[in-house]
Amino acid sequence: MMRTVEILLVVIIITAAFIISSFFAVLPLPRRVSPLNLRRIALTTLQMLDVNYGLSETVFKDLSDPAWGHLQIALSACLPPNIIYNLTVYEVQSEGETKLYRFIKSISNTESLGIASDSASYLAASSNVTFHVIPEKIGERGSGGTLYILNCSDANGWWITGYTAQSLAQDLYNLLSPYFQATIMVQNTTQLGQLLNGTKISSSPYESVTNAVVINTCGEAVPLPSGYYSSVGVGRDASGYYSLYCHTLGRRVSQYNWTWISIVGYPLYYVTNTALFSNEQNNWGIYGMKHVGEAGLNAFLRGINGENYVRDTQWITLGGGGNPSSALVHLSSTAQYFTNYYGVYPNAYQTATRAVPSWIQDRYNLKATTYIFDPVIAGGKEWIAGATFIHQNATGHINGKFIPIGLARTTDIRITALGILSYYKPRLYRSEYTANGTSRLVVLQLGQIGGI
Amino acid sequence: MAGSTIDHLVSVTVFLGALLLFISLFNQTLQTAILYQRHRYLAAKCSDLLDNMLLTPGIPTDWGKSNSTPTGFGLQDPEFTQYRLSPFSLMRLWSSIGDPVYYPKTGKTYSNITMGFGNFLLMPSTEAINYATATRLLGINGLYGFQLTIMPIVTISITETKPANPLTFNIDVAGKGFPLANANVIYCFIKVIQKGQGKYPYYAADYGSGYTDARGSLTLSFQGISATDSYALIVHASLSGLMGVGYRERVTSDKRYVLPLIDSMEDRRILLAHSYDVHYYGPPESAVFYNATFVLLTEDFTLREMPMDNSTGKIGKVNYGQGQPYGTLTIPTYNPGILIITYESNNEYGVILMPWGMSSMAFPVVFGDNPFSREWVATDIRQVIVNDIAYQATLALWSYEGYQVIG
Amino acid sequence: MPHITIEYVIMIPVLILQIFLFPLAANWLMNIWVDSRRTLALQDAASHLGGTIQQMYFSLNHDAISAGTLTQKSNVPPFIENYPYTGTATLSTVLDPALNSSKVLKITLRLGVAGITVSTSVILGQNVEWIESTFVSNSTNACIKATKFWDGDEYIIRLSFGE
Repeated sequence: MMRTVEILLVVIIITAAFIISSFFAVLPLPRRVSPLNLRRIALTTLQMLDVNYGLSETVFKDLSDPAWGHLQIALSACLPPNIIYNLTVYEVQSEGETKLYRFIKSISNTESLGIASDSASYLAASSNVTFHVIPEKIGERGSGGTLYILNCSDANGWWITGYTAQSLAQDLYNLLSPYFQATIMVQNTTQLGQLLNGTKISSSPYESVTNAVVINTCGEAVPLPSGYYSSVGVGRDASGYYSLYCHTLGRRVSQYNWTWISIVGYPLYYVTNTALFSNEQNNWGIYGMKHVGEAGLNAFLRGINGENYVRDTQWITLGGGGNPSSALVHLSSTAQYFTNYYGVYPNAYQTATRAVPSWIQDRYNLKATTYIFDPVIAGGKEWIAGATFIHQNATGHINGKFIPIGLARTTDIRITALGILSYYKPRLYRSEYTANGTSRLVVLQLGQIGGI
Repeated sequence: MAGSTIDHLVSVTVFLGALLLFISLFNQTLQTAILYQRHRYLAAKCSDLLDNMLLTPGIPTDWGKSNSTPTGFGLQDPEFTQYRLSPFSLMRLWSSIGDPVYYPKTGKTYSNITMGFGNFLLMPSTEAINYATATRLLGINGLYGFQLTIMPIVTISITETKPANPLTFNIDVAGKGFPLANANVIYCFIKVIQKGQGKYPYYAADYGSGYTDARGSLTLSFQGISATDSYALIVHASLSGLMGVGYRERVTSDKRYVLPLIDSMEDRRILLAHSYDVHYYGPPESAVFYNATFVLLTEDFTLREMPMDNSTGKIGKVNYGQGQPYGTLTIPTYNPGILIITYESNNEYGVILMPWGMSSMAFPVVFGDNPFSREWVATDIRQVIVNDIAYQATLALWSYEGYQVIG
Repeated sequence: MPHITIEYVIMIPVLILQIFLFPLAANWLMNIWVDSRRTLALQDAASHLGGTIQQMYFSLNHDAISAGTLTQKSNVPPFIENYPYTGTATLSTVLDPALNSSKVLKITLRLGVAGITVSTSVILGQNVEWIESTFVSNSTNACIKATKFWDGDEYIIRLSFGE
């Protein structure tokens, strides 16, 4: 009998132990075990309310504006009935204030959200805020990064009707200087001569002659330094033709791995130096300029390709030499993409009257990349009105780049800017807000009620 | 003696029984706790998987506008970031609701989303992505099952309270948890213009706007509409970034009509079939004369007609039976819009609406398996935008391993 | 007397049996709990590693990120109940490799001493490579490495465990 009693006592003790341990071993509610991701729901709700900037506009309105009521209705409508919320708007204060956030208004459908709530925050900007975009600098992570713009005061331009080389240079400076580590105006042909000798011309620590980008703003003419570069055997051949200077220029482009840009027309068709050619004109009434003709471009290309100088007067572009006079060209899809990325919007259709032929790639070991305009077929040949031609030496190393924009006058420097940016593709980083009182932080806190 | 032995026997038996009972009770509590931990992973996996589906456009990124099977599953609109979905990728999901429709003249079966008579979206099985393919692309086949539901947040229900003199509607606009009071409502009333038997009817559109009251309701009246007129009413409602679409048709011929079937997403080709080829309703088996128009929804929610790519196919006639060809037309653009087809058969009229892009008529999407009778189903929700229309995406996820969960 | 003998014959063995039975039962019950707890902790670590790798991939895969290397120190605990664990991973395509499809990375962790193995999978894009490597939880240099580079056609992201 006693054994049975003892066993009954044991059963009672173990039962008591089980019951006591059950009080402590409380299993969580299924909702806590498998919860909704309230933070994501809150974030996506805020994004959805701001899809047409409705939320951003409302949070800047006066506290008595009916828009706040509409916001509450929309919030109640888009969340499930068992979700409770508290939407709070704070003003982001500027530096120097004691508190970073100042409370503006709160909208809620409950007194308390309980302990199992989660929240997401969203920064709304007022519509009258100023944004800054920080672009990556070309050359930041490698070599180069210097932009030389030929702003020579002693040189005249041609086919830049309506502009001067100097005004174009200033416009290009404004457009492109944010993207380069150093943007240097070459103020006269003397400085150009120094540059051709590989000498820096500014005090900027970021200036680097090698791997630089050089934009010739004189259109079909190219500035010619006096002295060495206009002497016989360097700038002038034995017959007195300045196409030799173009050949020397090509060699320098290859030597320093420059990217040489011709902004309009037939590249290197004239040389210009107002002092050297004070009594000469280009047959169209512009003094300080001397005719070089078709030989200039051919000599330049030979120079890039490391060939000896030959005076070759074959007209190779559209608009002469038996080639079609013009072609309608369209921005390539790459260029169109970058118009949006960089906010540079030239007309998508342009007239090319001096587009270079595609065969120069094979002839001069150039490879056309990053087309500004899609190639066109005219007169049985393919023409390229704008692209970056890369020259590679025998070992595959890039030594020299050439961007000839063979459009009809008047030049549109946005095409030039687009061509350079499409090739180098500097990244644009996140913008930052600059004005005070124009940012508000919206915090949406969500909880759940009911159910298990 | 005997009593003591019985005492011992009874006590030992009771003791062993009690021991086993309490061991199993303690074990039960421990097992439930372990199981709950595993269910927690299922919830985390559900959240991750939903983000994987909604935040990547898939491979290739424009698979929604092509005929090819994607090699990576994603529903994000490739032209946007965050939770904005492609209206065309959603069209290519095989719907779990609605009975599939078989069309003998193409030999294909079509995924069927029908939102009341006259509002059809039928996608062929050769172009639709099925559930098995999706699980394989997500790397969860054999491990997890899911059901993805993408429902419009704003629902607009339209009730005809008076059929004529004047034609009166009651519009109720509601969200998920609340009516949408003071919502801006813009409507388009499409009346079918009857041209007579054997002719191609067209439509006239009338626009207007209003605001819902505190209960989210609005009453609309239209004069000059008789009880035998066919019409379609499309209503847009918006408030603070929430946008929804509702629609209603009245037809006099709901048996003989034109059924639009999507033939090719890449070529934007639609087949127009006689309804009797899909479901025979009995005589007369008259031809159906149709006039199809594609309209874009502008920013102020008016309808702007876009001419079809070629003029043929816009109007035509379809007959029932073998040897009778179906109609074909090409949608001129990949911008979301609505295909409006007015038709006449045996002097009865009607209008059919087909969305081009899921959001044009705020059609819902239910894709995947049925979670009914699964041991444990985790769900998660996201608010998403499909071409400015507010939707809510819900993913229900369960493990095929039953009591075990692979992490 | 006989009943005393019966008492000693039956009860003493039962008593001795109890001495073994109770600890055995308790040990068995707690083993289930301990093994499960270790498995769950290991599973937690595996899921955390998988989530970290996925986040690193999606971050680097963005257009705005240029080529480079990213190293993330793992936040998983170095020991689970005083035992270290190791991990490996395998990468496979969801479809035929020629189809340029998404890839699944299956991470397997082992708590060697206890013989527990758990695995988790994460889905990544098509431009990812995995380098055979082992994750050692108690190594001071345990980390995840991701390198983004241009292979001539597209950017590839190469992932591995660091040691």
